[in-house]
Amino acid sequence: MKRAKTISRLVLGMLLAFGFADVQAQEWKEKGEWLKKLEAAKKAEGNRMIQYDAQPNYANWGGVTLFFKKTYGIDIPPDMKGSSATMAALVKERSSTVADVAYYNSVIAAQAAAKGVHQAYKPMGWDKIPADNKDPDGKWFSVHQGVIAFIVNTDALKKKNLAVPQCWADLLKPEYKGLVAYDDPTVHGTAWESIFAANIALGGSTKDVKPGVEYLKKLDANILRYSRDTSYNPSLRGEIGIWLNADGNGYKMKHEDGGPIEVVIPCEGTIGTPLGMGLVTWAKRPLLAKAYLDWLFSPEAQGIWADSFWQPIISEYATESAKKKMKPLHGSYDKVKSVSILEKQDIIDPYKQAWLKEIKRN
Amino acid sequence: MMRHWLGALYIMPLTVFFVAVMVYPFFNMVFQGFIPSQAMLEAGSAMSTADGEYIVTWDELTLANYLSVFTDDHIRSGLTLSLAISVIVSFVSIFLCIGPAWLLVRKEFPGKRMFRAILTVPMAFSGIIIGFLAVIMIGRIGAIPLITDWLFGIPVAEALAYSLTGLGIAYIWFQIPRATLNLESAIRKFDWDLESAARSLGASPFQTVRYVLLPLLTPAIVSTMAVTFAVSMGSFGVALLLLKKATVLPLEIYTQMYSTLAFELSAALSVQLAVVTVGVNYFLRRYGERHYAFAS
Amino acid sequence: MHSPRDGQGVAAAAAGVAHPALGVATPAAKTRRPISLWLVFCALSSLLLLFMIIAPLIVCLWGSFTTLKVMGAGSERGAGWEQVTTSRDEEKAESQSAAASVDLGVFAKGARNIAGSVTTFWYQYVWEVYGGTLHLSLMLAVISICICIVLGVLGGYALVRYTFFGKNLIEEMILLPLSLPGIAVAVALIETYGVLRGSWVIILFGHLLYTLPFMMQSVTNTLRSFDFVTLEQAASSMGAGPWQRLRYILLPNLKHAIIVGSLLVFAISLGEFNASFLLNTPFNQTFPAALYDSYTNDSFQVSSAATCIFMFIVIPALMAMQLIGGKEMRDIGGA
Repeated sequence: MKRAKTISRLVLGMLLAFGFADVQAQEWKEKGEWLKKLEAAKKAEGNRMIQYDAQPNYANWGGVTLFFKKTYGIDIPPDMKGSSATMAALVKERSSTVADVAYYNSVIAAQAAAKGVHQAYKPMGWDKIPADNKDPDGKWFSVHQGVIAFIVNTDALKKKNLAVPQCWADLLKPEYKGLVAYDDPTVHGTAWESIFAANIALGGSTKDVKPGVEYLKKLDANILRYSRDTSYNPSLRGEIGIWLNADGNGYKMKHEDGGPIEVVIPCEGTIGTPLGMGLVTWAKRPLLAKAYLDWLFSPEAQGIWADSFWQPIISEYATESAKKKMKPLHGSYDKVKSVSILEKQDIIDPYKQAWLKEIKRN
Repeated sequence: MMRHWLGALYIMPLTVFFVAVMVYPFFNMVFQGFIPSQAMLEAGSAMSTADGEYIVTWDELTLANYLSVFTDDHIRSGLTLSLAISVIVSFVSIFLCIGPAWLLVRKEFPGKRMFRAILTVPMAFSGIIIGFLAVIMIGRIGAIPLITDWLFGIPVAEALAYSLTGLGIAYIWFQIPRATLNLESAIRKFDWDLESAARSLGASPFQTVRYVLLPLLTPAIVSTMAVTFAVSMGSFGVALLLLKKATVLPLEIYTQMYSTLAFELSAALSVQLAVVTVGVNYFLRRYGERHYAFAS
Repeated sequence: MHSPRDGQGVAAAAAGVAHPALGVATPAAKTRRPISLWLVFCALSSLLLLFMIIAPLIVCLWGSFTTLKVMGAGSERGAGWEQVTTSRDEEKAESQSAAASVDLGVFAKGARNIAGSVTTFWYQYVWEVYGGTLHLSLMLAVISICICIVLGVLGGYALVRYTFFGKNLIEEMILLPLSLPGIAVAVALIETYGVLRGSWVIILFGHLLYTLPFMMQSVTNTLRSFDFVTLEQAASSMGAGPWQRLRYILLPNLKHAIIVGSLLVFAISLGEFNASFLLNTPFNQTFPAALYDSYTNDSFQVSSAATCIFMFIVIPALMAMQLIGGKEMRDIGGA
């Protein structure tokens, strides 16, 4: 750590000296005010709270919650639910829930808000959140976003003398049998986005999921598992060769964990996947939860996401140095098609059901 | 033995505990199983309060949850796989464990206690640990494929863990102590003189096995199956880590509870799982006991 | 496969006996052959089982100390904010140095930067990340043992000494959890005691349900193995009060059974997953649930270390039980 710090200081110094400094230190003007709020909340509600679906290896929540714990003394334990499971748990548990805040795919966050499990709250920095990524009342809001990509373990493919796939169509080749995986889309929001990306890329739309279903049926032969848990580690270890997930997770594997990982943006195109949160209606620690949500939109938290290769929802906090590292092996980000959260909302449940019927339960 | 109010008094705490923690929750669960699930309520015309919670009236209670084991192909396949794997694994683990059990009863050898102790190790290992061990041993980059690939150039058992065979091996793993200890205690109760008598009377080895040993062993096998079957039926940690599309009933209960909103369905399935498991266990145990009385 | 000679050699080596099977007096080769075949089978299946049990544990043990990435790389949890702690705050140096001087514990030392091929770092990591869950599990195990001893001795004594209404029913009921699927119990407990969700009491309920039958079996087996009832009645007729009978007859005779039962309760409670998995909440996690988290979140090495810590605690308990337990152990292997 010491050495790493020194090196990064040196590098920073050099960058500054040569005038290339693009790491803009973002001023967090309201920090003093926020600290007072946090202190009051800590006094009233203790020093730990619960976020449903805080998976350490997803969107670097491990790093974010660790920073929050070490810097501000609030402990947020990991929780492995997944988007849909989180919504199901909140709907079922209602007032007996232990959750204070919940994190999901934004589409599911909006669904959950409609089911009445969120209360309205507008965190600090509310105005900076793009309008299509928040509920006007503050019942849900996106915190960051990624892009659906192939996360490829090149070692696993090299062992079998296989090339890195470039397109959705490549994945259907029989030589990739047992090497491809995506998580269970009825549990994980990102897994749902992954199969929806296939649908959009292959000519489907928010009204028509037939191309997607047909594709997934064929892909089934090559799939290793539909995991109920995140496949981050299996894919980093090489247990899984090609994992369909958000690009940020792949870049973290590559740059932070030092895995033999490449990220591929499929040639037929893909979609972005925004992720959102909400304040739980029955939160037992509402003050802490509010302070935490405020912090998530601060330059600090947004900056952590930017540095761990997730696009902060407040784009001004993105860093150039991280962006430079976000280079897919194949494909380019120009291929990302835009589908709004609102449009996805109508199709999410039918598509999930179709997947259950045609693939999982077939 | 005497009849005395003190006996009832001493047993009272235990009874209260079991009623509070097992019997009452179980009947509560049976009742929950009749309540239409959230999805059904949202689709139907049930009343909902301002808070979004539904009020279910008596006439809305439904059998649908209990019937889903027949109507839903996926759930039925889960039950079938559960039963099939429990039976097959029981037979295989009895086949594998009868040898060690016999050695433990009939032979003296150095390190016997150690041998026995090692066979007991999987006892405390939950399904989840066994699933992990299966992945690191016979996963896609498990130890066995890696080592055989390095030695012979052919990865043996690659990704076996994710197949039904791999699932079976993992199940056998946690049955080892249960099968061995039960068989051992059953074999200990044998009348071994019968076997040597049969042999000294000139019975061929085959005849000895067919007419003396097998009938003697049957109750032992049955009572062992009672245990192994029940444990296999209830296990879900292994399936959670290893299965792709297939499902076992406990895993389906977990899925219904956490990925869908059908908490009531999971209650109904839990009741069915419990009834099948406890029923089969009880029947086998009784059968074994009856034949013990006869054999000894 | 093997010639009979080889087979006998293997069997003899495994069984450690040079003599023909006991009880058979005739030394004729004709009758010895099937026995040696049978011994070969016994020995081979024993060896297979030993391999099946020991091999994964060895891989696990190796994995918990190695830095080699034969089995793949692992993730780093504290990643992604080096720039926040250094560059961003460094510029404002003094004013906001809090973040820069954070003590990161095990997270500071990236897994990639460990020198050498053998390390105990994975254990430190598990200790820091999952230590609390181990604490909870040990606490639950100890409480389970205490309650099991009280309820088990009292109940076992009542069952052996007295007859009363519904005795058979109660005996069946006590054995029921052994065949009751843990997930069904968890669903039932959540449905009924949802209010207790989030406290460890509800997890304790699940553990007690699965450990009590073992303690009960241990106690009743011992009491039934000798003429306890007569002994106690004799003491009673000679004027021994309840306290004296408990102190001088019941407890000394049960000492062994209680120790063996407690060890078994300890091992089972510590490893219980099926029921407690659904009863867990993020604040109250048992160690097996933490193991599950570790399997999904951490590298092969960290998961191995976590599993090894579990083994280091449970296997000695099981071994001790084997070494001191005689008769009690034999009849405990389930129902």
